[in-house]
Amino acid sequence: MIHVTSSKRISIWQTFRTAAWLEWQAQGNWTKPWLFLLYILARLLTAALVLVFMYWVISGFHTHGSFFGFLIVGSAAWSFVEQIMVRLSNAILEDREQFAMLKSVCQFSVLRQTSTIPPLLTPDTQANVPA
Amino acid sequence: MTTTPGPYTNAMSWQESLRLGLRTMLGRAYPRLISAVREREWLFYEVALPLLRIIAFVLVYRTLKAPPQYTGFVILGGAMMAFWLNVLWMMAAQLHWERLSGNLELYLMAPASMLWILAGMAVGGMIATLIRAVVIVAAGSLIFGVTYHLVSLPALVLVFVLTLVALYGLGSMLASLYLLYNREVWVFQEMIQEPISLVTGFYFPIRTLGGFVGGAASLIPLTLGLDAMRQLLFPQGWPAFLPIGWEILILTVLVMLFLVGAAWSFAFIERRAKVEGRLSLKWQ
Repeated sequence: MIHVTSSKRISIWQTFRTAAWLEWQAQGNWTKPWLFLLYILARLLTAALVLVFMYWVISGFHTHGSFFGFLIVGSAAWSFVEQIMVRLSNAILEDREQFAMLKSVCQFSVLRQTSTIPPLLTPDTQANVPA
Repeated sequence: MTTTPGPYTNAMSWQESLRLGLRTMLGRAYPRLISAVREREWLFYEVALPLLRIIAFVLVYRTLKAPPQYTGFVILGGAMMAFWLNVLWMMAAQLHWERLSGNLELYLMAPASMLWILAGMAVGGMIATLIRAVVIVAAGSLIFGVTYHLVSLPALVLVFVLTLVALYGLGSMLASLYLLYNREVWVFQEMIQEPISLVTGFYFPIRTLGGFVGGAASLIPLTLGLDAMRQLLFPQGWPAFLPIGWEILILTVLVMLFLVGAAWSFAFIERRAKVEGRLSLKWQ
């Protein structure tokens, strides 16, 4: 059984938090918040609207019926599939071909295991780490 | 600051200039064509995945008990989607990537015009995408047993060529305009991808969106091109947006508009690069 120490848990959490923050910045800090919101909504809504208009063309602009709901929910859920299957793998390919950040991250993890390099900590959480 | 053109370009006759331009075009088209053969795994992404999307939309129509010709509409829309994605990612965004990889400086220093380089990108991309689109149409038609009733082959070829030239002209224009921006380009590309597939009527008749939205969407050559091609392939079942003659006329105007626009925007970018000594990065 794998035993995870308290400091290890903190380190994992901090790595996760830093990675999530970095990705949020990479995705969202290119513009103003309202434009970023518009960007997110425009993609999702128009993808769903394609299906809605296909439904309307055939059914004559009715919005009732379980199939209509199925289309909307399916379209909304599809963005998660796309995010996981396409964007995650693309991120790795893109990094390998252009930025080479993963190599540095891997090297850093190995160095941390074999030397005394401290984990990435912010000043407010550093105090919580046991000696 | 004033600059004088280089002696090499001045010394060339128009025949030499044309020969250089054509060689540049072929040289830039070559990697596009050869990569289709060398990187065969991309066939999966560019043929199998779009085909899956088409199958999903066809099944939606079948569940809704739509008339059988709607299957053909979706297959045709899906095949034309390949051209739109090619224009968006391999034309419009290409110079932005070339700038990141350092090739753009070489292009701008080369004695041939940037327009020849763009023409090479367009020709290579068009041929490679045409092969994929034909495979998508053939496979989709075989799977679902679609029959086409061709009204006029010359008209269909004319509409198809006009649509592609206008579309790649738009891509060329966007390519230079994208150089004025940096990271926003990537998200802008992603942002317009789905809305364009909605407003151009890839999977349903554009007339459904109404005259105002349809008219605005007609600025994108795919809207009228698809509508005309569907009228020529499915004469009985397609609710047309405009008569074919009008659509051909508007497409011809769009061809001229986008080609002139591309030439103008490249002249602008080249001037900024060569005379002002910068490659149009926002903060420079």
